[in-house]
Amino acid sequence: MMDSNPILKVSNLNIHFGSGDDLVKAVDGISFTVGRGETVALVGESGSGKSISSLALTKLAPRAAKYVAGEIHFNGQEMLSLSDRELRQIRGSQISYIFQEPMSSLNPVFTVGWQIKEAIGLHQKGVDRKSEIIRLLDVVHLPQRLATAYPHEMSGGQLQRCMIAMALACSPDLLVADEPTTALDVTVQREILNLLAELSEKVDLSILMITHNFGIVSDLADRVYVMQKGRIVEEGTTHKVLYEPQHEYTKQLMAAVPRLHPKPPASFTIENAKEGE
Amino acid sequence: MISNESKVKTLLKVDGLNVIYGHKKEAVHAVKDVSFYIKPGEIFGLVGESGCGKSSLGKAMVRLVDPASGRIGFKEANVAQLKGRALQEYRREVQMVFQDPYGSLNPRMKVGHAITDVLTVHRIGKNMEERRERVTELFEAVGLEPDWAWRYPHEFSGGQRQRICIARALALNPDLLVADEPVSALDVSVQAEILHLLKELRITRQLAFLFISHDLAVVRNLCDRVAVMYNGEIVEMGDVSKVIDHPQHEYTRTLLAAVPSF
Amino acid sequence: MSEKGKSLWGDAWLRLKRNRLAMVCLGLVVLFTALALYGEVVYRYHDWKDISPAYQKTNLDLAYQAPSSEHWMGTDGLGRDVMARLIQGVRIAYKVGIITSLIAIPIGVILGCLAGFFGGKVDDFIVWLYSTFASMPGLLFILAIAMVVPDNGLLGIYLGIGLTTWVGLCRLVRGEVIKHKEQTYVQAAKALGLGSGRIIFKHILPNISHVIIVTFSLRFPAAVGTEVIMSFLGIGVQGEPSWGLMIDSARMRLWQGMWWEMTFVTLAVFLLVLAFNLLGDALRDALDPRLND
Repeated sequence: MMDSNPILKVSNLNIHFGSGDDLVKAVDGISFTVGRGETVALVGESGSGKSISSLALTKLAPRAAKYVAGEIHFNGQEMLSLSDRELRQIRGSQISYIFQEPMSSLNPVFTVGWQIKEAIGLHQKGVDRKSEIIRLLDVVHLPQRLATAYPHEMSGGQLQRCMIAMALACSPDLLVADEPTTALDVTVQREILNLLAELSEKVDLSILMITHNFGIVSDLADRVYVMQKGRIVEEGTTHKVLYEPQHEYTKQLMAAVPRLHPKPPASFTIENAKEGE
Repeated sequence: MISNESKVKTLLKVDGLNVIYGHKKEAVHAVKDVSFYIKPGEIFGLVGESGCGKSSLGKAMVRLVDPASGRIGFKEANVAQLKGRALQEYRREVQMVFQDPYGSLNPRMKVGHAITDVLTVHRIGKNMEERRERVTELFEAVGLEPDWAWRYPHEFSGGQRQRICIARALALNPDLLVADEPVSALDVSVQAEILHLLKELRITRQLAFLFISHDLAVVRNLCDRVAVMYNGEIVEMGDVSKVIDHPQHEYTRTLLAAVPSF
Repeated sequence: MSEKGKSLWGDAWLRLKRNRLAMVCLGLVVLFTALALYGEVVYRYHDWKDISPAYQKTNLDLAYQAPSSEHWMGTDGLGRDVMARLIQGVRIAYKVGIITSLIAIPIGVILGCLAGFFGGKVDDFIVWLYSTFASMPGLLFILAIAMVVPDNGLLGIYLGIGLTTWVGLCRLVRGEVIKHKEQTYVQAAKALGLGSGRIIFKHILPNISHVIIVTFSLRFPAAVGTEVIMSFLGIGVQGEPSWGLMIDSARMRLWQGMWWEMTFVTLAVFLLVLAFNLLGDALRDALDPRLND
């Protein structure tokens, strides 16, 4: 399963906030890889450091963050040693992000077409932008007429598709999706998840998925890393981690996840069944 | 849709309820002709996607929203059109817990005071000393250190705040608690703890719940019966295992198929 | 950590006490307040005895004396002691600043709260009311009130300024209340059966107190400025030493090197405004429990 030549290789990353008594080790020596065309999930609860880790890939973590140690190898470059200018070149063109709140990620006063055009223009010169916008909207299954729509005229799912279109504008190698469906309804979430799965297949996109939802992990990810308090406590193929968790924390988490179709043998459902009657 | 419930003793019985926002041309019909009932000590789930009217329905139960028409029968009385003192009395018996544990506590008021304030308004307890004791009891009931009552909301985690909100709702000894997505903003492990607390309260206090959620898995594990709302209407209702394991309505099937699970 | 049963204001005071700068400012404010009270007592005493107080006695032989051990802040063009007049000036500044605030702030806060919280017709009426007030030229309005109100004194001015300056605060408060009204904690309070008055004044008001505090601390310089104009127009302070009049007369002689009157008066205005503003800021922070610990 492991790629011998991964597109992203993070080794022993340490990110701290504050100092002295207020020192917070937000990311405490984590290592992970994402292979080409692979979908990898970082799961954990709030405060586990999963979002900071994903932002750190292009040094987007908040200013107060200190990159104490570690290396981030992406496409043969060591990201932490790059200058701001070089990083800007990479952001958006080679590593793209989509976030939880599509509504606040788009500027309300411009049409989405204009915003996609801007994303194209930033990193690609000399392409026919009009046809490119249409192509991108098509990739995310949005009708062309929405190019002239403003964000408030669209639903949450459509906005997240626009965000994905913008993220794909420069055909990145890695898409970092930070809780991309948390704010969406389940049926819309399903559509977005299907779209991401389709993209990873069709364009051979590598996806780093940040989520707290094990259902999404099981649906989408090839491999998974479980984070707790800035550390990775368990890693492995999705099936193995979800069905044969080794670490105590993963086991607890799996027990806490409410199941749609609880299986009688598991201990927590017996209790539920009794009370449910 | 509703069948042979007439013989069961009900706590809350809603008939043909409509909630309409705005006037005439801009009117939004949020809840359309909804009927259901809740038995004492029952956990009744209400699921649906955003905009389906489930929150409006929940708010109508505690009369934060005034229904346009229909009947809300609570212990024999119709509370749909109550006003003034009678409404105040009703509010002792039906309480609400909201989704956002960060927004539902006044940031400039110590959490204990948020509770004593409610007690004062409803003239519970003879003096401040008695009300403080009541706060201590309530904090213990929801699994919090009583000493923490004299802190401000920002000093608590999301799960702790939700416990405080539950304690505040319990202050008036209600018979029905409307919980609007009470665990959606919480981490799974915290979510499990809060759900456990709700189950416990239902047993220790014979408390009935109207549990509003978008999360079918949570509803499956907590509720006795469930109603699925779509576009302001209840499209399917019944025992939770029946609805989720053998959905009848097309929309319920779509919803269930969309849930990522393993 | 917070102590048991203390109120928000009690906690704020504990936190304020820990802020050195705020305590210095509070000291200054207390000092100015004491001077204002002293000035009032002196004024009343001389008025009752019907004698001319020392700070009003002109002595042209002593005109334009630089600061000395006898006159710490020098003398003005009519040989009057600048320091004595400065202290009397505090009294006028306070009266204008505080009395007009006592009129304007409650009106602005109460109307703003009602408009924001209840909305609908109440809101329409209050917005209409303040738009009407705002559309009238303030100065004319003050003049009109000053004419109508009997008594030659400052009462007309207080009322005039007080009744015209609540509009800005009312707008701010209305906006803040609308914002807070939508928050869940207000919804929760309603569901718990709390009355509107209690929700507005006990729950929402502490959350928007910063608006009121900042407005209050900004009113002082404005009040002193208005007083200067009023006095200049001949409808305000007459004959009494006010900072406005002192600045007005001092600026004529400044180019001749008579720096002291201007310097000390502006210094006093500066210190008073600064003290109020810094204290206001510190109080605002102290009232926000999230900014502490």
